[in-house]
Amino acid sequence: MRLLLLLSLLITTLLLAQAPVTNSGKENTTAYEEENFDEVGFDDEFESEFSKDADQEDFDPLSGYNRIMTDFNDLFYTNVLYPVARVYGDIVPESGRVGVSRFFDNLHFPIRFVNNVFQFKFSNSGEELLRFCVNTTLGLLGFFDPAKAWFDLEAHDEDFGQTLGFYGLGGGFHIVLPILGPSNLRDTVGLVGNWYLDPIVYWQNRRYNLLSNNWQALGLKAIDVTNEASLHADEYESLKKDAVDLYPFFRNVYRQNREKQIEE
Amino acid sequence: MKSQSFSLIITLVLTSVFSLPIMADKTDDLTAVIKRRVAVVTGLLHNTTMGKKEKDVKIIESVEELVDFSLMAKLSLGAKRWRQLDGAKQKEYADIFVKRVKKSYLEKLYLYTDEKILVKQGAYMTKKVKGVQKIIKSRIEVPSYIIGKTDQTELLYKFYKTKQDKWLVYDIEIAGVSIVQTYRAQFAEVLKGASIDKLIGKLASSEPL
Repeated sequence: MRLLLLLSLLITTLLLAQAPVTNSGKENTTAYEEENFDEVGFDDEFESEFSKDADQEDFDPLSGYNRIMTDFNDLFYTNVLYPVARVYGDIVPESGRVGVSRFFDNLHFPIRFVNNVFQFKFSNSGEELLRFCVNTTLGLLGFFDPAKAWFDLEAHDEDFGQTLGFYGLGGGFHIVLPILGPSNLRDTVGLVGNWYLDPIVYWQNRRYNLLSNNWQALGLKAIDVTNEASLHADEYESLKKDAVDLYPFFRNVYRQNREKQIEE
Repeated sequence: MKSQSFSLIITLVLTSVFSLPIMADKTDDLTAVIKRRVAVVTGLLHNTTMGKKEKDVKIIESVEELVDFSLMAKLSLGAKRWRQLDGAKQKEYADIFVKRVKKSYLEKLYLYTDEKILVKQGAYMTKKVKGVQKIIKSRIEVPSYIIGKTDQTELLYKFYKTKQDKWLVYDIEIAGVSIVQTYRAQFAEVLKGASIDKLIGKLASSEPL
């Protein structure tokens, strides 16, 4: 009798063990979408994941200018920037160029710090501050990144455009900037804000300046841009190959990437 | 006394059974699948004995069964326009689209041969419906990171559940940019006042513009 009871209990527990138990995760598991298997329903479910983005690009008042500027930038990158960057890359070893990239990145700390604070991302801004202190001292003015390597401190890239987006400002229409590339109304305004907090941009009416004039600023900027280009030389060409139509491609890629950055 | 110890045993058995992780979630399975494929593809990329053509074929083979290329073709065109095409045109478009996507994928891979790839835990996709966050049980996203020299790029694999209960990739997001979405935007522009043949022509030529 007792053996029978034990056996039945064993079988019951084994059967219960086979039943799927939902993840006791932090997600809200109280509701989920039913799969729709008739063709139109199936398609529409996917469509709803994508279609909303396509509409946002219909308002493009500067499209004529943007197209011309995209082509100009393309010519500039292909015939001036990347060839120069490649020569520079042949002369300067990669470890040196990575160091230079980190140096400039470290200098842009004020932009990231202020914008993290404006977005109430206080722990992120704290981490940025720690990174700056560690990398400037232990990392020898930012050429090295011991903050990440030894202390696992992550960077949190924020700028004024993202802050404006955080507060709900939409991107506005697309603008392609000379040499700087794709942007939009909001982010172009944000760019000016970024420049004001950039230590290697010269502002006559700003109290603190690392440099003494515009020529130095331009020179340093040129080194920064060339250095970055040398580290990512093949990526632009490879990215271009994905384009069936260059201008809408870059416009769309810019918008998606920006939206993701603002979300984070 | 005997019945007391008996009920104690029962309690112990039941509590231990319910505290065990009962079934591996689908998200764990797919995360493991991606980790394996990444390892296979990385191995192929670093292989010095194989010729490039052979490598290309093997790499595509290892990812082909995981990716629903025909669905990607359909979504990139837009389901409405797809349904407007006849069977022959659908096949013509889909074939050329898939060819182009595979070529593009291989090119990107070779670019990132030396970079390390870190695959993170996959999770169900979530959607905000009327202010409530809901999980979508028919979609899983597996994030991975390409560790570059100065930064990291996120690579997100998006899976969907087919009618046959299989899970296939229908889109990849690179740094938040969905490749299906970029195709949709471009194709929509090309098809403004032009026919599908113009699009097929552009896809067939390897030049941009």
